[in-house]
Amino acid sequence: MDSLRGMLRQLPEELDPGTRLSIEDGVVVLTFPSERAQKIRLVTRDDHYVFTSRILGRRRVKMISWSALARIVWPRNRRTPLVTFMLDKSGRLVGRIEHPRATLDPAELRAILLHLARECDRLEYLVTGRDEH
Amino acid sequence: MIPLDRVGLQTAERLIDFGGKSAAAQAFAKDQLEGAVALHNMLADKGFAYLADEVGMGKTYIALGVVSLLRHFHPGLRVLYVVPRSNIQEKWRKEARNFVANNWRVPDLRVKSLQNSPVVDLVSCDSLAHLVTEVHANAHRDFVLRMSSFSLALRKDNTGWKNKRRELRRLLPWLPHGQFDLRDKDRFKETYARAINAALPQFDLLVVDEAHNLRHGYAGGSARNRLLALALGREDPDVPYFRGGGPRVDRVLTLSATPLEGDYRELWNQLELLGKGALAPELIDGESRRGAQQERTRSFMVRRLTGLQLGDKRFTKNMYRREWRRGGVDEHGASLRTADDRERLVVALVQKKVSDVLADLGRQSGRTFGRRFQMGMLASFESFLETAKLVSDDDDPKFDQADQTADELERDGVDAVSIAHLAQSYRERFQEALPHPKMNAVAQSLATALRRGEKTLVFVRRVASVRELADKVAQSYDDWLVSRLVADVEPAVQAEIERQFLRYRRASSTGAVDVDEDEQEVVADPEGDGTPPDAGGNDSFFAWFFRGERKLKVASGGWFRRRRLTDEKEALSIVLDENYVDWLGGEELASLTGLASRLGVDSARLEADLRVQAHAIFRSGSRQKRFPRRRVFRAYQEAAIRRLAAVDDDLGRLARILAGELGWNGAVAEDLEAPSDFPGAADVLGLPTAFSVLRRHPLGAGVMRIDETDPQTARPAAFVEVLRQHEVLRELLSASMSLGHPFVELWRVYVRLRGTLSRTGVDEPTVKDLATAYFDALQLEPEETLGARQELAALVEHFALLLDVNFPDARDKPLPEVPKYLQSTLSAQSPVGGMSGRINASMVKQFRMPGYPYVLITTDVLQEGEDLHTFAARVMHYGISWTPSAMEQRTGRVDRIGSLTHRRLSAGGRPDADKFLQVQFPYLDSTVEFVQVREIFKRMDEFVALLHRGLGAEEAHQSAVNLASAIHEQTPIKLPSSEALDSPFDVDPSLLLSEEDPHLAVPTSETDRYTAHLDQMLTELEGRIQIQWAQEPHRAGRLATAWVLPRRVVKAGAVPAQARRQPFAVRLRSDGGGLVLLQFISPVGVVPIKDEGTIEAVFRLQARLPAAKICAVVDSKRDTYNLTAEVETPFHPDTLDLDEAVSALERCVVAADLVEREILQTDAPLSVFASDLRKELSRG
Repeated sequence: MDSLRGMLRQLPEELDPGTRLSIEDGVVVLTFPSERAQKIRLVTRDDHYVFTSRILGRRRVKMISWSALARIVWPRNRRTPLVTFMLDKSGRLVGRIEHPRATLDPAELRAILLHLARECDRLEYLVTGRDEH
Repeated sequence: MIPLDRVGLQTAERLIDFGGKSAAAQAFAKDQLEGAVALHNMLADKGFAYLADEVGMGKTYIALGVVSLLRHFHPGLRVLYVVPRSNIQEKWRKEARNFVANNWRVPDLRVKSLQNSPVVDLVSCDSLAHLVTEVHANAHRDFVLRMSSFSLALRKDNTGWKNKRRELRRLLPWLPHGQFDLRDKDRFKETYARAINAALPQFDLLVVDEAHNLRHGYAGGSARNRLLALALGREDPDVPYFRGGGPRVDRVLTLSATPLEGDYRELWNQLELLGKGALAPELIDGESRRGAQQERTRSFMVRRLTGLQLGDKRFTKNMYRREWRRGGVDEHGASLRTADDRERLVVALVQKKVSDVLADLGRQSGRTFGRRFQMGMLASFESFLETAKLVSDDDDPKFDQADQTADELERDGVDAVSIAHLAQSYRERFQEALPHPKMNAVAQSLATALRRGEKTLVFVRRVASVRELADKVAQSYDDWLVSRLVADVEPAVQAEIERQFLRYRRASSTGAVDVDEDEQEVVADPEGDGTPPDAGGNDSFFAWFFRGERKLKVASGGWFRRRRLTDEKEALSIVLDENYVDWLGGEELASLTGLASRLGVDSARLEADLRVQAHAIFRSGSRQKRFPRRRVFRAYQEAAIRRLAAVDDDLGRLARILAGELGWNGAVAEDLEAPSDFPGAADVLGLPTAFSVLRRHPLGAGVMRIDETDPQTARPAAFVEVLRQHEVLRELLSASMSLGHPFVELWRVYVRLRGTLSRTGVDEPTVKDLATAYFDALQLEPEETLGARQELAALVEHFALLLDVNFPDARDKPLPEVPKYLQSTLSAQSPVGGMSGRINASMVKQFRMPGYPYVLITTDVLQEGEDLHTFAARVMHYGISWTPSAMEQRTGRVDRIGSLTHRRLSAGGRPDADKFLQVQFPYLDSTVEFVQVREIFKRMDEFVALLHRGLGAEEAHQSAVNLASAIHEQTPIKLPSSEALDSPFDVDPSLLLSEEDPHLAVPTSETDRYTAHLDQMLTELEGRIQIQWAQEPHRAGRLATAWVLPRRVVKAGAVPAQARRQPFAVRLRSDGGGLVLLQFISPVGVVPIKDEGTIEAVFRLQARLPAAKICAVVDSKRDTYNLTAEVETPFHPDTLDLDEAVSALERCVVAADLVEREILQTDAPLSVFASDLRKELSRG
């Protein structure tokens, strides 16, 4: 985790034109030019880093039927590189990317953060119209 | 907005080769490259650029070049295209694939994948709701939308409106229901546009094709313009944004060859609508001089002129287009002639009538027209069609471009009723149709051109003229065709053909179905592909006698095709097949002894083995008790190729590739005993087909040579391309020989060999006799006349061009799908085609090819976007459009890079008026039509002046002609300028950076490293995991099977008995943002879309999966999901090691197996999923 923190510090504050990176309470936050923002949590599991970003809370998920959820998630999983949309163990809809710890480099880290935050933020907007990062 | 740096010419040249494989395109490649660089840099500097090159200079390609340059340096680029109609959407999709395959040099994984396909898909959207659905699912693609989708045609009935609202709220459930007020339709549409705006992602670039359609702007334009602007996020305080809405487009690239008609304000309107009006305020400043407006426009516009270098002189389009402004169609510079005194009298009478209608009270309208009429909208200009309804009772438009006038009477043609009365009176008095001298002369001229094989594109204004003119030309062609069919045949055959022709004439004049009712036919196609047979038609003798199978009691063309060529029981049914063994190894190999010798086995033993295997292959595809000839022939072909493929030598390698490409590598049960009546190998293996005959015929070594490279000398690495070229071209020839004019010749030869049109009681010719006689007959055909030989030879000569313009998917399509793909375009041919209302895509494609239709008569539906230049060098404006831009767009359909005109003139190397592009404007002198033609010529000349240097320009135009003043004008018709044109908007050299050290975002060497690293990794993977690779390598990746135990993959070595098999595919793909990913895809199975229980179980299982994602392809026909498990990991030669690949593969197959085992309780092999997996490998 220390090497990941070190790598995060090496990333520029403006991760992409207009997209700012900050770290708040150990959570990565990406703020987009529209001022919408998305949080990403980092954990390690075995020999992988796991990056997770919440899209819908459990309560909102429960309002959606399983077939409607499948329509949102499964085709999107196929078309969206890297990101896995899924329900976590608490029943929340999240986006997740895993990457081997041994080989992560700053360019890949940047791509992972941008992909995950953008995709999760967009799906949240489409489904709720809100920004509840 | 992404910051853009300018790009240099040298850098662009290392990325783009606009010449590609086309010799014709080479001549324009430099101009196209400079245009792309200049436009890129204008976008970098100003955020807006206008590409206004003349028609036919490849604007689509230049725009794709600009987009690709942007994407190469900014891989996350998002692009939205807006084009006029659905056919142009398809064109962009096709050209995007062609551009990447042929013109983008570097597989940089940003623009071009390692499989030579576009990295970013271009999604064609049928409607705004479809666009929202697609961007909702994945916004990281390019989208092409049609302008007509913004018209939001909604009926008075509220149901359609409610559906639209429901559809949108399904995708964006938070949209407030109450804001879509159904009581105010205009407001509803605006709200709808703003909802679309909310759903759209931010686009880095908007490309608007044919942007002149927006020339009336936002405030003064149509509702369509307004909704387009609102959806893209134009500010309008009266129409607030939804939450999260706003401007959605950062930069704009517009395209049009006719950016304005008569005033620079029209240009400003386009800029302003797209939010860029501040760039050029001079354009609406009445005080501003023309020079200043041109200078300002120069800062964002690129317009180059078409030109051909002939000798030491450059010919601009006005110099190589030969305009027939005197009205004639047979002799340049002459007027259109009336045939006799009667026609002259009719002309005079009609002029009097028209003049009365315009001057006095209309017969029914009870109003006057003040001696004014809408250009091109007098019915009498085009036809005296008697069937014109005397009382119009339908809403169908009578003329194209109906928006030219809002006056209903003018839309119908103010003289239509009066002329119809005249025509009716004439028929009652003389018992024949009122002659229309212009139509008669034109039909005769077109029929003459048709017989010479010269393609002509004819534009009309009056919708009814399409059918009427087409019928007249077709009748003339029918006469010629029949005279050809009865030449050199037995008197009895001649008499029968003439009898059939009379039957056809009766049927076509009455519309009756003329059959011998007593004859019972049974259509026997128990295991056919389900395609309904072509019913033919009454529109031409070709359609009637050669296309549809009618109950005529004779061996008609339609009967011959269906009962001899298509019926698989018949000996002739293999005539258009291929003997692959013969192709691969020659006649010797295609004999049983030759094959046995090659395989080193006893021939009796081989015959027995082949028989068993061929029977098993036959049985795998058919349950029939009998053994139809063609199925048996194909089964033996497959069996023999499989035997060759099993040998580890050069020929075996070729045979393996052939088997793989033809799909002959699935498992076949071999323990079935072949019944005694199953034909033996010795009788079937060496059967000739037309193509094995052609290989040994002089034509096959000359103008009909199919193979550029002899397959026997091809290197295995190049063999796939050799095979695909052979097969696609062979199937193209085969389709032409069975569906087009070459089929007529095949039938003639067939009848000649039989000596009768009787169906039964005659010895049928053998395949070899028929094919040999056919090619002998073709060889005797004169080269310069319309005929089968000319058509087939042209297909061979221009094969690459035809793939580009008509069949881009043929390059990648699985070979077994190619015949149907080609036939779908080439079926239902007609010598003369007609189009109005909507586009007939097959007919358009046929017109782009050698062969039928030779004459295509159309309204404005083909005015924009369609390329029709490949085999046509003559365009006729039978009806006149009121705007010079429409006239230019119409002529431009056949005046394009690589056109027949360009090819002919370039080959000759010198100007030749007969080889110029012939642009004809048929009209009768001394008629009202003369006045309108003179007016449009004047406007066309002014239009040229406005956009070129040093030529004056006059006032804006109106759509109406004032006959009262115009008739007295003494101005003669002017010929167009023959001086070379000069554009004030040529590329500014300062935009073309010169670089000492051009740089690419991804060097070529880098992509080579990727492929090499992947190959090495996959080889090493076998040492770690037990993998069985599929036999044939797929160009886009690899297919394989791994084995799985609970929660782990089986390591290299023996496979435990309890292990379950798990198929997978592996490939490299791009993330669309510059990152390369190693992707494993493992199929799971099928889940019903509405099966809540199973779906819930999969979701719950996903939480326990070993870091793989569950993906689905929706099968909307079956209402199911095809589930896969996928794992992607960043791939770079320096960082990705074997352990990561092993881990990724293991996670993927273990996850897939877990879902398959626990939810579906199946364990399906690779063969079940291979076809779907191959499709997955090919996607961007």
